[in-house]
Amino acid sequence: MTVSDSTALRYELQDPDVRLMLQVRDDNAAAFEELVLRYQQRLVSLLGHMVYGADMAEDLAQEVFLRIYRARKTYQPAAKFSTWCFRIAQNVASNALRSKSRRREYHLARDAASDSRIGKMEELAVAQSGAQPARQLDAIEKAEMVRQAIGALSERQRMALLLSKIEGQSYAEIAETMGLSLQATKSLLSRARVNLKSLLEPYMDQGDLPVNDAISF
Amino acid sequence: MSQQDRNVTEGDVQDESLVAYLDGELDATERALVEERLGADETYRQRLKELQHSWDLLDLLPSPELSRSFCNTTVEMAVVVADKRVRAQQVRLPRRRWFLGLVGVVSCVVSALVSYAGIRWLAGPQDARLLRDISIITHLEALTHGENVAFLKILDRAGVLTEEIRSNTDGILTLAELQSKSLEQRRSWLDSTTAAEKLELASLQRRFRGLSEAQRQRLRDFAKSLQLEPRRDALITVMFRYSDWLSTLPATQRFALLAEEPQQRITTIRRFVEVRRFDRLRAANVSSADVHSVRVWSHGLMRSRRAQMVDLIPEPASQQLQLLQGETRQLDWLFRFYLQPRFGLARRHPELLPTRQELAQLASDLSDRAGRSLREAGDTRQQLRVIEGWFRAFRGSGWNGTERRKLNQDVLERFYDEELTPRERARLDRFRGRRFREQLTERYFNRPGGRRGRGFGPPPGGERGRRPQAQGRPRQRP
Repeated sequence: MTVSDSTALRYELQDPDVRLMLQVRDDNAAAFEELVLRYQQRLVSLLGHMVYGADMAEDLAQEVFLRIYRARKTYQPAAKFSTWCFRIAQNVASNALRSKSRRREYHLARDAASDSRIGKMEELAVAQSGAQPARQLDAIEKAEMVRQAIGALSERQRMALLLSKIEGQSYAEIAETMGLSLQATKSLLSRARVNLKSLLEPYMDQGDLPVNDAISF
Repeated sequence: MSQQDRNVTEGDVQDESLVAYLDGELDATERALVEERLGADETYRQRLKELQHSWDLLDLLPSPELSRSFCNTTVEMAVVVADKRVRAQQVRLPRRRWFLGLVGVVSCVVSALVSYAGIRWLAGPQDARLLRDISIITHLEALTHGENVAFLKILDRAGVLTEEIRSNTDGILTLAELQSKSLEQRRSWLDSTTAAEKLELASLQRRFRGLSEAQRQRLRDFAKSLQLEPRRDALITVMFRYSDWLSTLPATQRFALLAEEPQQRITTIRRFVEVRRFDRLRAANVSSADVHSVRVWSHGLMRSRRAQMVDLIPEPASQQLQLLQGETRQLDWLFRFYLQPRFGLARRHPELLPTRQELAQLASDLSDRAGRSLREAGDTRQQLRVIEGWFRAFRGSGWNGTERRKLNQDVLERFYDEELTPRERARLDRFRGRRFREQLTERYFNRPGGRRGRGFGPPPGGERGRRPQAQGRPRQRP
């Protein structure tokens, strides 16, 4: 896609990261290092919640940076740098989730391990059982509940929710990152928030667990 | 459309409005409508409260920790490997397709036959291989930079980095210790590491696995030959010092330097060190000749107070002093100790402070500019602080072993908000490399609560905190 000179200039003036990326386009490795420093934690946080795993998140974040670097020669500032970067992150996360679901044996092995989702769900269920009815969930358990609730959302809802919560993006920015219309983004976020509420509601009221099946709309 | 469908649609619209209201994404008219209904409808209010509550629970999500070597690894992979890979792939693509197809078919057949036996057989050796290579994986960065024993010897003889940077002595000990441990002892050591260290190790291990077998073997041979050297400890110190120094360079300079021949590289390192020293001295408003005068003055000062100092310093430090060869080195060491905060010169031993006459004598020996700086510094303690700053500028940041001064947090925040004056930006630019990264990491990535809200910039809760209030206040955009 060709970007008009005025658009490119506007983004170059407005966004310091675009300016850095333009330096990367000219093979300035120090500028690339600066971009990595600015975005590494943001990407790892986002991808960590997208794919459920800090270790995998680092690999994926690295993949995002490598894609950015490989694409540097054709880079044209058509949007804020963060928008472009998170769009790549979304693609990388989607690919990872697809290949993860294809490798069923990997999941089976994981599920059998002690740190699996189901394993933890069961542990949490025991922790909240009649043996300790009045027990307050501690912070780790609560975080685990929330993580599982996030994991139960559909991929697109999760992405939109995380961009809004972790990245603080506006609806317009989320729409641009995810390639959606503004109205579609509004509906997507609304459904995500309502689903999240439904998943966490039993836990908030009675201490039940959120459902582990993915919800798709 | 059935009644049920109509209800669902109306419910969706209601939720959309409420969510957009909470996110501050409604215009004034829509917001007024929502607020009007909130005032009249208890169920609507309850719905809003529930949505907000579940949203707030997302704050409990932990922020994944990032391994320390991530940035370096990624940049190096991108700059060094990515381009090569793209070029190589372009050349090999047609041939590779055939090859991959063939390999795919063969591997399917073979893997079906040997998978069970293979898993059982491989699990042990892989584990042992990891343990065997653990000392290399742990110090991958330093060993990669160190290259070979011959280069370390050249570097040691040149003595260019001896005063520029302090190396991490923990790393030196661990390398030597790990090399001498049995596999079982290495396993115990691995088990005893913290979660963060394991994460860091996993990242390094991935990087190590990414090397070719020849490169891995070269590193193993290098580590082995290093252990056999008579001056092993000195060379390992040089290697860590060099690796630490390299990581303070911007990536472009680092890559250019690493591409040079060893002898040429030493010349370049020396030039970099001198340029940096010159910049530091210029920033501190002092010349090399002034620093030399201060050093001569400090020797006289220490000679006159030596007996008292030796009585006051603790036993381990006293032993360290005795081990130093030559009076000059001992006097230098004593003066460093004299200025250290833990010695408590002004608070506990004011009788050892330099007299006014001694300081006036020093000021008269200095250039006009440096002498004026010293005289205008204020009282004796402040003058000593100025002198310490000059030494630090001459010798580099780790001169007297104290913590490096930190950048002002406020300046960092404004840096990312693009609000710096040209002078402030120039000052920050001088802190490229590791020190700059450390400050940024501390400020933006390692806050106790983890990073939340918008990316870089002030912490949440400030005037730019992103979550809107439940009353539907429009979102503050940066």
